[in-house]
Amino acid sequence: MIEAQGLTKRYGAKTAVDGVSFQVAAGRVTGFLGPNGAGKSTTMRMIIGLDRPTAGTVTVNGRPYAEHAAPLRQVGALLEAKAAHPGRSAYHHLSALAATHGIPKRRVREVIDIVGLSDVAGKRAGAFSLGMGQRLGIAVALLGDPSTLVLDEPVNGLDPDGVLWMRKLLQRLAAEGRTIFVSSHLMSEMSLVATHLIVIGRGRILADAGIDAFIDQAAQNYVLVRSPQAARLSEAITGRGGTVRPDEGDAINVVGWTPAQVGELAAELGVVLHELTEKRASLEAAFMKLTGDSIDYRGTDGSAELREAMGGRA
Amino acid sequence: MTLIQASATDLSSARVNWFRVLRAEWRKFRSIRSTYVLVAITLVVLIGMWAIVSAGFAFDESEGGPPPGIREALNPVAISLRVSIMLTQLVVGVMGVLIVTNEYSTGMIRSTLAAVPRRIPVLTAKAVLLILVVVVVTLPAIFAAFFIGDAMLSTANLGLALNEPDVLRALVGGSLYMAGVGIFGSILGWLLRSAAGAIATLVGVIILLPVLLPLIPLGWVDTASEYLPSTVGQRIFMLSSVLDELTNQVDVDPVTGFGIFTAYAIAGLVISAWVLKRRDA
Repeated sequence: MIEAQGLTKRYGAKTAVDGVSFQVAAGRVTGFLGPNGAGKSTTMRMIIGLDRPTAGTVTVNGRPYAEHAAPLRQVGALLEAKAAHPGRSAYHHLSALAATHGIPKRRVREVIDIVGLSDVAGKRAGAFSLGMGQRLGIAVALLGDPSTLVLDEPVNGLDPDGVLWMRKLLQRLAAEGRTIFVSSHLMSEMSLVATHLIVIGRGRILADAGIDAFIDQAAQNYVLVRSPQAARLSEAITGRGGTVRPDEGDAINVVGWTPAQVGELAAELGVVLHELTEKRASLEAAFMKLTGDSIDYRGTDGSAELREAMGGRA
Repeated sequence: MTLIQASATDLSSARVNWFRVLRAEWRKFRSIRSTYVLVAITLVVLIGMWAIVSAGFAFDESEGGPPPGIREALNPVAISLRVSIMLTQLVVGVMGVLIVTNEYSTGMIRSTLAAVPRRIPVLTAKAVLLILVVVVVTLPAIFAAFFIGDAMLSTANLGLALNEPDVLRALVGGSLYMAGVGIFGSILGWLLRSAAGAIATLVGVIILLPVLLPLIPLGWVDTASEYLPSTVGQRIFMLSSVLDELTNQVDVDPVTGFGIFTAYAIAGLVISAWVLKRRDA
C-alpha cells in the first residue's frame, strides 16, 4: 500500500507535482496515467526517496520508504532512466545491490532466470538492448521479492515482443498478489493490465477510480437523440432536471438519462424520434477529455499528438 | 500481504546494515575495468618515478655530484619519495573522484540509493573502501620503491636505512597522505557529481593553490597558504632535512600537520553527507 498526502515537488518556479493525495491499494494493478511531463516520474521517484518532496509525505506500507530496515523487501522499482554501469555485468550489478541487504546469491540467479537473462548475465550491461536493459531493471526490482512494485513506463521504447513479454510479466506478478503501480502515457496499454486508474495532468490528480467508473466519470455516457422537434424535447427534458447539449443539426445529447426515459418522454409529448442511441465513451475519449487541458507541450494540433500517443501501441 | 508465489530463497534476514553496504561497494569497485587500470597506473607511476629520480641521483654522483652547499639540502630519498607521491596522488585522487562520479554519469546512483535510501552509509562505505584500497595498494608499493631506489642510491653511497630517523614515518605517511587525497577526490565527486569538474578542482586545490597563493604579497596569505590541505598534509612524508627548510615560516610537526589534513577531510565528508542527504538523486 502506497499512500501520498499533499505530495508536492517544485523545481524552481515550475511545479512538477502539485499537492497530490492518493492511495495505491494492496494486491491490484493501479495504472498511473498522464501525458508526458505530467509528474508521473517525479511522483514515483519521491515514493522511493530519490527526490525529496517540497511538501507533503508519501509512505509505503505505513512508513517512508527510507525508514524501512529492508527497503528492497518493501518496494521494487523500475525507473525510466538508465540505472546501471555499462561496464559492469548484469550478474555483478545484481549481486552488488543484493549485497546491501544480505540477499543471497541464489536469489540473484533466481531473478536472472525470472527475467530470462541467464544466457547474458555475464555480459556488460552496456552491450544490452533496450529490452534487455528493461529486463535487468525488472530483475533489480524483484531482488527483494517485494509485495509492491513501482514501474515507470515499463513498455516505453520496447519492441512488440518486449511489450508482450512485459505485459505477461505484469499480469503474472499481479496474479501472484503483488501491488503494482505502473505508469504509462499509453491509454491502450493501461486498459490491458490495470483495474484501477489514477490520472495525473500538470501535477494534479484528475481522476482516481476503477477503470469502469473512470470512463463514466470522465466522459459521461449520453443518449444521442435526433428529432425534427428537438427544441421542444430539449425544453421538456431540461424542465425535468435533465441536461441537454446541442449536437449537429437536429440532434441533441441527453446526459444522465437512459434511452428508455427519453423514449417514454417523447411518446408522452408526441415527439417524433429519428434516432435514439446510447453512446458509451471509450477509455481513449475519457483520457482525452481529462487531459486535454493539461498537456504542457503540444503541437499546433494537440489532438493529433494525443491520438498518436494513445493509439501508437494499440 | 501474502504472495501466492513468493521467492524460493528465504529472504527473511535481508536488511541493510553498514557492513553489507561496504561489501556492496567492494563488489561494485572490483567489477569494473577502470579499477584495475587505475591500480596499475598507480603502481607504475609510484615505483617508476621513484626509481627514475633515484637513478638520476646515483648517476649525478658518479659524475662528481652536486657542489658543496647544495648537497646538504638535497636528500635523495626524500626527493625520490616526494616526486613519486606528488605525481601518484593525482592518480589516486582520480580514483577517489571516479568511485563517486561513475555512479552519477551512468545512472547507477539511482539503483544504489534506492537500495540504501538512507544514503549516508553509501558515502561512509565508499570512504572506508577507498582508504583501504589506497593503503593496501600504495603501502607495499612505497616500500618496494624505497628498496629499488635504495639499491640504486647505495651504489653511490646515498642510501638511507629504514631504521634511520623518520624514514619509516615518511614511508607510511606517504601512503596515508595519498589515501587522504583519494578522500578529497571523492568529496569533490559528491559535491560536483561530474568527473571533469571534480578532477579539475582537485588539481587546483592540491597542486595549483599551494603554488599560486604564496605569490600574493601579503604576509597573512603566505601564512595561510602553509595551512592549505595538501601543504599541511604533505609534512607527514617529509624527511627531517626537508622539514627543517619548510619550518622557517610556520612550525607544524608532521603528525599535527596530518591531523589538520584529516580534519579538512572529515569536514569535507560531513558537508558531502549533508548535500547527499538533501539533494535529489
